[in-house]
Amino acid sequence: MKPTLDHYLVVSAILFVLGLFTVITRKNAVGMLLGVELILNAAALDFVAFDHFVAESRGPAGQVFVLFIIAFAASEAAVALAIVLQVYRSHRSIAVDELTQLRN
Amino acid sequence: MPDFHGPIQHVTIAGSLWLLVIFPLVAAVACAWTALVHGRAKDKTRDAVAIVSIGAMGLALAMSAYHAWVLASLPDDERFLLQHAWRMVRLGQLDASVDLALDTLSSTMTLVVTGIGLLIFVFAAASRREGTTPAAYARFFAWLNAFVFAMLVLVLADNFVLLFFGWEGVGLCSWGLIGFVWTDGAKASAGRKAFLVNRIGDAGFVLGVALFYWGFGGAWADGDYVPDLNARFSSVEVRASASDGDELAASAKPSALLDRDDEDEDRAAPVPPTNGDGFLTLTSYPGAAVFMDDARSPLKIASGELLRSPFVRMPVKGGLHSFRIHPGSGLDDFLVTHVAFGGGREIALTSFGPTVTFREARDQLAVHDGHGRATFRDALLSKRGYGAAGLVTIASLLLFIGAVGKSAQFPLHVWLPDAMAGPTPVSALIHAATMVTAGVYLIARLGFFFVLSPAAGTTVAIVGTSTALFAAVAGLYQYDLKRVLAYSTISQLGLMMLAVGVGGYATGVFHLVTHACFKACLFLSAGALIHALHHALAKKGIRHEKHAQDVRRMGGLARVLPKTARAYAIGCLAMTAAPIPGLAGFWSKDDILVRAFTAKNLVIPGAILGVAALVVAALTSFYMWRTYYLAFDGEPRTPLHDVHEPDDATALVLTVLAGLCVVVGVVLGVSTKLIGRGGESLLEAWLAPSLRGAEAPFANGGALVEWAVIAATYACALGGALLARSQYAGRKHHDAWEERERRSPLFAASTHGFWIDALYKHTFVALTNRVREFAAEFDRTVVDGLVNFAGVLTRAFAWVVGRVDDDVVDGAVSALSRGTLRAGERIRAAQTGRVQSYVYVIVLGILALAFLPYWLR
Repeated sequence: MKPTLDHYLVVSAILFVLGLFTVITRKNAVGMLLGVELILNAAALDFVAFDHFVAESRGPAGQVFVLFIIAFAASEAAVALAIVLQVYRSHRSIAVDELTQLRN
Repeated sequence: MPDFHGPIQHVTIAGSLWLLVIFPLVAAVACAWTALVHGRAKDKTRDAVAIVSIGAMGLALAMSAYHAWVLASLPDDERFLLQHAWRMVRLGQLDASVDLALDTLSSTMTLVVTGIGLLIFVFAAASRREGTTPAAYARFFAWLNAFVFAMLVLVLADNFVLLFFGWEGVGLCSWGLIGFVWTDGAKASAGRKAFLVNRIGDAGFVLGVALFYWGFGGAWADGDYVPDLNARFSSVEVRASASDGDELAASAKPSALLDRDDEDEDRAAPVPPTNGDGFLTLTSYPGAAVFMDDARSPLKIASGELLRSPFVRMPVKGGLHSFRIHPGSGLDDFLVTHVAFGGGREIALTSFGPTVTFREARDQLAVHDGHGRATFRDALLSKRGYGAAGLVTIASLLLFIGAVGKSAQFPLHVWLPDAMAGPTPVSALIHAATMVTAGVYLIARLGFFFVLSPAAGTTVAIVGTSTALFAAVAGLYQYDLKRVLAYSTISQLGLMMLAVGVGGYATGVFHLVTHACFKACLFLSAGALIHALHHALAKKGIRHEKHAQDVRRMGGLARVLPKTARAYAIGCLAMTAAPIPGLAGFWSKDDILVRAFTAKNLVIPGAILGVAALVVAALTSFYMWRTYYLAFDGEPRTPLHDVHEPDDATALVLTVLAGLCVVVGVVLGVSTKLIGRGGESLLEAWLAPSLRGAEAPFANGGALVEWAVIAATYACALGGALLARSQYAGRKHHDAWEERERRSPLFAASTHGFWIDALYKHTFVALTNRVREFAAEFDRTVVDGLVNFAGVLTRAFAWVVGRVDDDVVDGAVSALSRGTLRAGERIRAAQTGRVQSYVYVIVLGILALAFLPYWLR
């Protein structure tokens, strides 16, 4: 059986939901970042899938988008990890439910 | 062919007329500047002011004389100098320019104004030295010079509009000079009175001008008059007179015009002669350019500039020509076609229709059309105003109201006796010699118009005669010397009005000239007397000048003031013509009487007026000699040793004026009776070109009437003089005269001026005051009430608005803020600070948005 667009979309949706679930449930900030990565990858998967099945002959737009997403994800991870590191230094914790300082 | 022919005023363009008026204007400005800026200067300022003023008057007199000489050197019909200065007003087709015009009439006036003016200036420069600050001295001469300027503008004006500027200007200066010592309330209010009374006359004058303008407007179609205010141009063949060229006219008339059954037809030549050159004249619409034949290129003069109106006798090649006159400034062009030139004839392109220019109005009335009819005059005469009164009559009477105000005729004479509050030179110059004669001048200037209406002329004559009679009685028993002279001025002005009313325009001007001489002489000698007496009285502690004018304080002054007495006596002789006949007034007054007795252009018998004028002559003689005997003869009532003769300059002025009284009489008067040019006196012959069209019919009484009138006048005057002598002269009667006068039946009426002032006080003034009080009361109760009511209303409204503002608007605003605060407190709970709960909300929100379309479907 040859995989179709629907297969890819299902995989992507699963990835997305897993990522979302991770973001919501993890108390650890690094865990939340991992969830965000999953969501980004779900989106990237969608791009290539649509590019392949829907807009195959119109140039490598989907692939280019994915490359951008990967680059953004890497930079985002770098910035976020730096923030997390600083948060840890000041609070001795990276549990997001304890970081409610913005409220006041 | 020319549409009309007739005696169009032949204009001579003169570039130098402005010199006549400029010197007094410059002097006025210089003196005013001195008064304002250099007010605290030294006594030298007085010298400078006097030199500038007298110099300016001297130059003005020289210019008047020069221009009179220029006029005299021209042929009779061409004695009309015109200078177009600039265009002042053009409203529709009304064209009023600053045009100075000098004809023989205005030349006579300029000579009187500047000649008498110069003498009075010299007198004033000497007599006003004491008791005035240099600033006041400069102010006095600024007003005097401004007056002379305005008076010259008045007499030189070519149209009503410019004349009105002068007319009002002299009124303004008169106001400023009567109230010259404005710190004295009585003098200030005398000035105001003069100004206000003149406004009544001016209202009539302005209405008269409007009606004059309107009356000339119109188109004439088949003998019907269609009023309209559009001017039109026609060609006029210039002839010396309308009648003497009738054969010529017939020969020049084209047959086309005579197609109708006209008896002239057989005499008409089909084509007017076009051999040789002709001449073109255009004086209407100054500044207008002219196109001849060729529609594109206007006529030019040799230097290449455009040929602009006014121009006279420009050579034109013989033949038929068409013209387009381009007045510019938004007016349509005028077309005049098929004008035949040649044979040395002069063709004038003339504007017909409404005009404010005297010359154009007179030309219109004078021209005749191809049938020998005076179309315009007939049309004007046929026009009716209210009721059956002719338009000419109504317009003339309205203009006469203006003259009544200015020339102090009954019933608007009341300002002139009060105007004697002004300094004596002012009384002499303005209120005797010049300004008050402006009314007479106006009627003489408009003689061509007044002569068309016997009713208006009769009214003028009756008003003049009754004024003369009334003022002569009012002057009989006055104690104030200047008031006597004022009433005598009114009386003499009345005689002038009588003259112009019956149609003797030259006679009126003749009396104007002689009156200017002898009245200036009388006023100035009276002024010298008052000045001297004032000195003497001031030493006794009597300072107010009204005492120095009171004949009851005079007497015997001839002994200490021989020169003044002599001048006054000559003035009296010139005015009363008795007991020594032959001086100035004798001739002119006699001329007036002859005119009155022989007048035919009246609706009443002229003899009535003549008899009244004889009574005036007798009364005049009586009251003038009364003042002479009371002042100069008899017992002194004030110590004489402090009374001194005036200084040399004043004495010289008096001598010259006394000399004028003699010379003018001899030159102008004797020529009337003895050496006249074919029955005309020199002055009449001189004025004739200016008074063309104003020839009223007179009965030809012959020498018998002349001599009878002379004898009657002299008898009356002599009677008056002898009566005065018997009552006032000598020492035997001293002080009994007052008692005797008081017993006279006319005493009360005379000294109170027939209670005219009181009458006005209790009618017009009282009425005005009642109206004023009513207006004040109305203001206080109704208007103020309305205003207060509006105030109360506003306050009530403001209270309501205030409540609404406090409760509703402010309530809403504070409710909003309270709600916001409370909502903020509630919503604050949602901000947990927990990132993951936000994510929940975001996810739920996205899901909700995703499913919203399904739910909403």
